[in-house]
Amino acid sequence: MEQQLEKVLSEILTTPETVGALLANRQGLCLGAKGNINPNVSGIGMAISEQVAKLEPNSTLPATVCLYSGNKRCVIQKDGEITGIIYKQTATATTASTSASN
Amino acid sequence: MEYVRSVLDCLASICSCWHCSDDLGSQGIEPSERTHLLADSVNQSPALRRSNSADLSNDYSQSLPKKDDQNALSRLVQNTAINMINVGALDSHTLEHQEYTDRIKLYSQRLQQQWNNIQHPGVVQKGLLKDVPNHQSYLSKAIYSDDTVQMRIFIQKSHAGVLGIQIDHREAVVVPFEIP
Repeated sequence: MEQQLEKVLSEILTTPETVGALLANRQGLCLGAKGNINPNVSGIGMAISEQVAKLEPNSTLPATVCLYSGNKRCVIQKDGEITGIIYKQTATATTASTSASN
Repeated sequence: MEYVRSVLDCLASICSCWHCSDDLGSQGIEPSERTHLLADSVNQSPALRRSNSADLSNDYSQSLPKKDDQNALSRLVQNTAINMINVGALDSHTLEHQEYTDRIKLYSQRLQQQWNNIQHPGVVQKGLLKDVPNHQSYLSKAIYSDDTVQMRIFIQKSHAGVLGIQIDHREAVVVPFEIP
């Protein structure tokens, strides 16, 4: 049924520093989550990506959001119908801030 | 308080007199859309006549408390009559064609003027932080290129994965009712 999606999520978790990955649909509902990530963040992640897309409404490229907190960071991207959220964790700590780029 | 009331009454009577003359002056002229619909009836109404003589009875207003109510009522009727546009009097058949086109021109010109004066909210640039120049400098922190690359691959694969979602039914889709 959704083995392919599960496979994609598992593959993403094998990349270094990645601790969790989640996929949300257009309504912000969780399509799948793997690793150390709460499935409930799917709605918030989708909402953040939608807000960030309003910074450059004319841009055709999907906006990528990166939230930094301590040694963790959360990368969010919404492309078309689906929103991807990746949690990453590094050994070195950085100051908390927000970043958005296209 | 009495003083204020008397001043108000005087004002009302002056206004009503002014409107009387206004209406009398406009009665001879053929009716237009600015002709007051209720002008005649208001002028002949007892309430208004009372308001005309209100200044005379100001000194006795204490003994006649209902006077103020009636004054207020007649003022209300008057104001309504003044603000009303008599559409019925606007007889379009009597309008000459030239006058008709002139009015169209005049009205559209005035509309255009008003339209230009309005600040159109729809024309304003859409998007967040449009009022902040160079918002990137407030929001940005260097983003790791690894992250964007990883995310792009993740999203690409996910798109394929989502398309691949399908229901594989293991039991019969149509279940027959066991009707004895």
